Amino acid sequence: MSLLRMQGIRFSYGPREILHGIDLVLEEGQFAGLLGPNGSGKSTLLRVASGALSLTAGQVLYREQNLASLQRKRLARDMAFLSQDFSTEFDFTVEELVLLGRTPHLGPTGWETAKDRDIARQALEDTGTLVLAERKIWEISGGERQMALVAMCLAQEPKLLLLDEPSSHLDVRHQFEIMELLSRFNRERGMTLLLVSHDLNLAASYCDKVFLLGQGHIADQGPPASVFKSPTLSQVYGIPSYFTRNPLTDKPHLMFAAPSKIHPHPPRPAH
Amino acid sequence: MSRTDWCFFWGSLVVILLLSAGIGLLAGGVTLSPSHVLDKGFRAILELHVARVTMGAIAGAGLCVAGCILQAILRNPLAEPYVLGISSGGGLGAALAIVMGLPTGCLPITAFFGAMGATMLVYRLASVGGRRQAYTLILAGVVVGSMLSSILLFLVMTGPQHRLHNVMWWLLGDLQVTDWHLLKIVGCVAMAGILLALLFGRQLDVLALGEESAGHLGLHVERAKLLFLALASLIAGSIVAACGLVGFVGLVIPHLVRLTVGASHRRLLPACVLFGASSLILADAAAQTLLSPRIVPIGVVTTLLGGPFFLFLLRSHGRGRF
Repeated sequence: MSLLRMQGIRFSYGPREILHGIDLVLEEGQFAGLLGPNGSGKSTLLRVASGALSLTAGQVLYREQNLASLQRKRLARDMAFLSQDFSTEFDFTVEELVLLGRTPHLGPTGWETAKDRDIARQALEDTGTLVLAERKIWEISGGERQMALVAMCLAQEPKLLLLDEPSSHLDVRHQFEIMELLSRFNRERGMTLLLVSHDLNLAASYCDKVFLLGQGHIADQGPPASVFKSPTLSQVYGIPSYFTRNPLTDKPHLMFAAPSKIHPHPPRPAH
Repeated sequence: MSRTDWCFFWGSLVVILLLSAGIGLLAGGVTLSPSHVLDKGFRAILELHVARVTMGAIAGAGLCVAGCILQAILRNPLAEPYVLGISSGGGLGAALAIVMGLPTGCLPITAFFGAMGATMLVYRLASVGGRRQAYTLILAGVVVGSMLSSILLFLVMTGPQHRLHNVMWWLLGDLQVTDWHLLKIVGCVAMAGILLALLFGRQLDVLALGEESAGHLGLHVERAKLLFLALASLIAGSIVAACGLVGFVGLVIPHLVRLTVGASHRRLLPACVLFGASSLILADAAAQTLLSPRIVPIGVVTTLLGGPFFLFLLRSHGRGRF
C-alpha cells in the first residue's frame, strides 16, 4: 500500500497554473527527493502533499484516504512539515519550540505529560540541540536553529516527514549532519521522507528515489542514477551535465558547466 | 530559572499585587482605625475605594491578556486594543446600549459586538493581498479607532445627558465604577475571558509560529484565530463598557513581562494578569495622588507612560523580537 498518492494534481496561484496534472506515489519507508529548477513547482507540490493548499483538480490520498477529508489534527500526528521560511516574532527557547511539536498529540489545552517531555528531550538529543535547550531561538546560529526545527518535527513523531530545502543556507558539515540524521530515522524507524532540494548531489547520496519536476510536470522519476543519466535532466535544468560517481561514496554525482566553458573533447561518462 | 526561582517569582508577583491593592486603597484616602470601621458613611466610602481597586485590577489584567492575544494572533508587537481601535468599537457599542436604554446586563454584549466589529474591520483592512503588513495594521487601527471615537463623541454630545458619561470619561477612562451591578457583570465577563485565555494559552504559542506552521501542527487555524479575536474583543469591550478607554496598558506590560518570563504564553499570560493588575492599580494610585486633591484621569497617566514606549517599539520594530 502506498503511503501518499497524488492523482492528477492541478494547482494555481490566481490565474497562473503552477502544477499541471501531477501523479506521484510515495511508498512507505521511502527516502524520496523532489528535484527541479526554480519555479518548477516543487515547493508548491510539497505544500500540496501536506494538505495546506486547496487544489484546482486532483486529489491527495494518505493511506488511501483523501487528505481533504482527514482531520487536521489526526493528519498532524502522522505528518510533519519542515518549512523553508520559518519565522516568528516570538523569542521562544529551543526547548519550548521543540515541545510545541507535541501539539497534535495533546488535548485542546495542550498540557504535556512526562512522556511528551521525554519525547521532546529525545528529539533534542538526537539532533544534538540538547545543549541549546535553554537558549532563545533567535540568538543561536542559523544551522543550530534549523536543527532545532528538525527536532520539533521529530518530536511530532511523524510517519511521513516533508522537508522544504532543509539544507539550504547551511555549511557543508551541517548539510551532511541533517541528511545523516534524516537517513538514520529513515533506516531505524522506517520514517518516510520527501524532501525538496536544490542540491542534486546531496539528494543523490541519500535518496532512494527522486522525482524531477519541470514546469509543473513530472519530467522523470526513478533511482537517482537513472534520472541523472537521462538527458531529460539537462533539458529540464537547461544546462549540460556530466554523470559520474563520487569517488568517496560511489554515489551518483553530476557535474555541470556552461556550454561556452565545455572542453572540446569531453570525457565519456562513467557508469 | 530553577523551580525554586519560579516559586519565588510567582510569589513575588502575588505579593506585589496585594501591596498594590493596599496602596490603591490608601491612595483613595482610606485610613483604617477601629472607630471608623463601624461608621456608616465610612463604609460607603470604603466600598467605593474597593470598587475602584477591583476595577483597576480587572482592567489591568484584562487589557494585558487582550493585548497578548492580539500580538500573538496578528503577529505584531504593536498590537493592542486601544491602538487598534478595538476599545473605541467597544465604547461605541456600550454607548449605543446606554442611549437605547438597554439594561445594564446588555452593556458587555453590545460592547463585545462593537469591539469585534472593529477587530474584524481592522483585520480585513490590513490584509493586503493576503499578507498583513505590520504598519498597515497599525495605521488601519488608528484610523478606524478615531472614526469610531468620533461617532462615539457625537453620540455623547447629542445623546441624553443624564444617562451617558461625559466626553472626558469616555476618552480618558475612569476606574471609579459607581454601579456595583455593572462592576459585577463586567468583572464576571472579563474574568471568564481571562480564564479561557489562560486555559488555551498554548494554542497562542502554536499560532505565533505562523499560520501555516500552526496548520502543520494540527491546529484548525481559521477557527482558532476567530475564537481568540472574539475572546480579546469580549475582554476589551466589557472593560471599556465599565471604565472607558484606557490606552497602552496591553502593550507595555506584556512586553515588560516577556523580558522576564519569555515568549511562552503559559507563563506570559498568568504573569501579565498579576503584573497588569498591579500596574494599573498603581498607575491609578499615582493619578489620584500626584496632583491631589485633583484626580488626573487614568488614561492620561497610561498614555503618557505608554505612548513613548509605543514609539520606542515602533522605532526598534524589525530589529527586535519579542
